[in-house]
Amino acid sequence: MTLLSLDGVTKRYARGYREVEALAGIELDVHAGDFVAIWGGSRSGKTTLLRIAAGIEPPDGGRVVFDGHDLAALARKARARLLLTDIGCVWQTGRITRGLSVLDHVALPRFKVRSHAQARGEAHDVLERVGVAQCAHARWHELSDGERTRVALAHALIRRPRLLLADEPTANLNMIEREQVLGVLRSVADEAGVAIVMTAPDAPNLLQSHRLMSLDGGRLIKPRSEQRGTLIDFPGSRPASGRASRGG
Amino acid sequence: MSVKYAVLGLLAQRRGYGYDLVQRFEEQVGPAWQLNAGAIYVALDKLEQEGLVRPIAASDGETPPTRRRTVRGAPRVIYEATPEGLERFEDWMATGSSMSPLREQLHLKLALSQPRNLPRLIELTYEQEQACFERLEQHLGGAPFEELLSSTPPWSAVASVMVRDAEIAHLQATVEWLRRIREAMRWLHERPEALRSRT
Repeated sequence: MTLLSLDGVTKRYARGYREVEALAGIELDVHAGDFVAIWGGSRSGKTTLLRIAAGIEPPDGGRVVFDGHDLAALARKARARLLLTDIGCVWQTGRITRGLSVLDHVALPRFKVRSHAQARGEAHDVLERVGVAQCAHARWHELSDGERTRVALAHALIRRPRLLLADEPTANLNMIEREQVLGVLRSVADEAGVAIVMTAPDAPNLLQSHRLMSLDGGRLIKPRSEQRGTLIDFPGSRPASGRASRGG
Repeated sequence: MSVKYAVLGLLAQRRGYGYDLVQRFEEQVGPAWQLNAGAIYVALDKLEQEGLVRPIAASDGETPPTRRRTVRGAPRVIYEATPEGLERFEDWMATGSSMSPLREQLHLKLALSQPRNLPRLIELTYEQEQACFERLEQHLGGAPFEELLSSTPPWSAVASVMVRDAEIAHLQATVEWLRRIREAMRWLHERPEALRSRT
């Protein structure tokens, strides 16, 4: 079943006097249990892509459909609710709730459905899974960058989202921590059927996924096995198009 | 030739017949080499001529390995390394390794291109990046390099992961290069005046 579908999504930004095409016609279908890894460098548009997929930012063109609902057609409140229930996000700039310990921050979403002790127990399990149980009683300013990312991942996972969007969840981790995080992501996809879209800046971080694609200059490059139409139609790339520039 | 020594090395590990060697090569070296089976047989012939490997003679009594048949009914010949072969293999392991030159068609096209080729060259970088992805896909789900540090796998597994990681590293570097030149070419393509002053 297609859980998330991006259909011709475009986004433009003004950068100084110039308009920058952040996303140019993104087509992407993600099914339950899919683990999609997107390889993109800085300024490739990967964070924009995830923000649009999460419904945090509207696309300029195209549609984002989550679980049969066009996100643009949903009321703001309904979109915000999705982010609390069905869509989990891990951002590089994540923060934890002011004044709370890591454990309580992660347990917070479970406080209303479980007793506090149970919620904290669950939070501890999730923190252990992503390898930061030792930080349970720390405060935000005491965490390293790598620990912060993993706390954000725990915070997203504890709500058992159906879709997990993770922006460089392996940044700032050493080899073993990285493998642990990728292993958790893979098992969440394989065992719990969570759909995952993850971004990473280099290849070794991508190979635990099920599907691999690349984002550069706002264009998604997929392996031929996933290709629907032509690869990339760069204007004027074919002599017959009549738009070939005559240089020199 | 390296394939010759690889086949010799496989036979130094244990005896084997042609197709078995093809499979073991693929298993231990990985998909990157893209070796066809014929090269293994050519190497075997050469090794036999040089006296570095020899077919095992059928011994009476037990089921002689040489009497087993291949799919097409030809006798399946099992080879083993000779003492000279083992010695030669050790020599090869001890010598330095040369590096192959980097010869890609795209490099030639770039070198011989004209400004009017820019749009097509830009598209070629996308196609090439896609090709890199398809190769990377073959490594999906494979044992990650990191696993080596946290567990104690047998040496053969360690070695094969390290060899695969070489291809992953090469593909990653290629994609990064493609993105770099694509950005440069797009920049030039959008500013024909900058190009004109360079031709």
